[in-house]
Amino acid sequence: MAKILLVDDEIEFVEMIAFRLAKTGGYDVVSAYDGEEGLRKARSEHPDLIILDIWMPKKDGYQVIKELKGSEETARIPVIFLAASNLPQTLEKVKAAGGADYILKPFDPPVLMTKIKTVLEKNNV
Amino acid sequence: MIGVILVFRDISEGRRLAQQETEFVNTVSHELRTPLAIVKEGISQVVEGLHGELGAEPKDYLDTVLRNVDRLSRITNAILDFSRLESGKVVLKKVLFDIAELSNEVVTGFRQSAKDKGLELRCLICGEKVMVLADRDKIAEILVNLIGNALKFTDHGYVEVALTEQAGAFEFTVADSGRGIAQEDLPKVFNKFEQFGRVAGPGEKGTGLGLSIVKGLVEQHGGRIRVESELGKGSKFIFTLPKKDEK
Repeated sequence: MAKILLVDDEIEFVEMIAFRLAKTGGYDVVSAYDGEEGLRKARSEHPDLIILDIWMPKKDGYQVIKELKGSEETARIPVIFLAASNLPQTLEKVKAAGGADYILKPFDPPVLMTKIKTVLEKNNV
Repeated sequence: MIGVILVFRDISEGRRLAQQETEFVNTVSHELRTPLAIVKEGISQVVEGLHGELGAEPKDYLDTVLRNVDRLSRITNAILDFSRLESGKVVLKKVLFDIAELSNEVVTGFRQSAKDKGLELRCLICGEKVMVLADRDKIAEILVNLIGNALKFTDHGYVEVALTEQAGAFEFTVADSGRGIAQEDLPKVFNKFEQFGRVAGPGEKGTGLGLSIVKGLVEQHGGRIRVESELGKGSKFIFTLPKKDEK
């Protein structure tokens, strides 16, 4: 069973998505509610994939992925960004940061599930 | 020397304002999209039966809620797109792609709505291969707006998407047999906040920004858009895309 780390400061959103991932995808889900907690759990839980919000307190999504990529232990964990803006600058920044993919809020649930499956398969999980 | 210092100040002030504007749009976008995402996910889970079986009547109600969340998302996108077009911040990401294939995708997305209204939806270019250098997402947005409008304002007959090759440009037509637009309203069709053909009463009114956004996007590609219409006899929106990359 693939393990997914879900990092977003919107508690209700995290709870709902975690429930969906476990119930319809059969994934093992670990949650974090800010960038620092996300980094800690990325190191301790060894997830197969991280779903990472961009705008978060303490450390934002860009800082988190930079630190993930900078450490051998976490560099290879693929990241799907949760974006809340489709400004070209934001999307360029998401790409440049090294995310495997991104999804714009609000999204259709099957789109999220397909992206997760595709990224996991690409990474042989 | 004073002049030089002032120029630097102006540039730096301009950058600061542009940065401030980007941050504002990002913040508004975040603050609108995040609650929408929570509402959409919550309702979707209940409708899908992830929290237990749902009766037919509550499911119908929640389907209506979901449709309206999508409506709010569309309006949010339109307002944000419009603010970016107005400030000249839309940057095209041009790629070479098959526009016939894209048209087919967009038309397929409208098949059910056309069927529900008893309309014939024809795509006269969907079997060919027509490569263009343009921003795929923005061209999709143009087609979605034009076909969506045509379906919205057509009660009987057809909506037709066609493409002809002209010297130096591709010409797209989205035609319908709908309500049409009065001659005196035609010059105002692409103005922002203008709305035509609306039936008084309940239902989605829209923002009046769709065609203004379409015009902005077509012109950003170096193309032109025009409308031919007669009240009660349908409308024809025609836009061009230059074959050569002019931008």
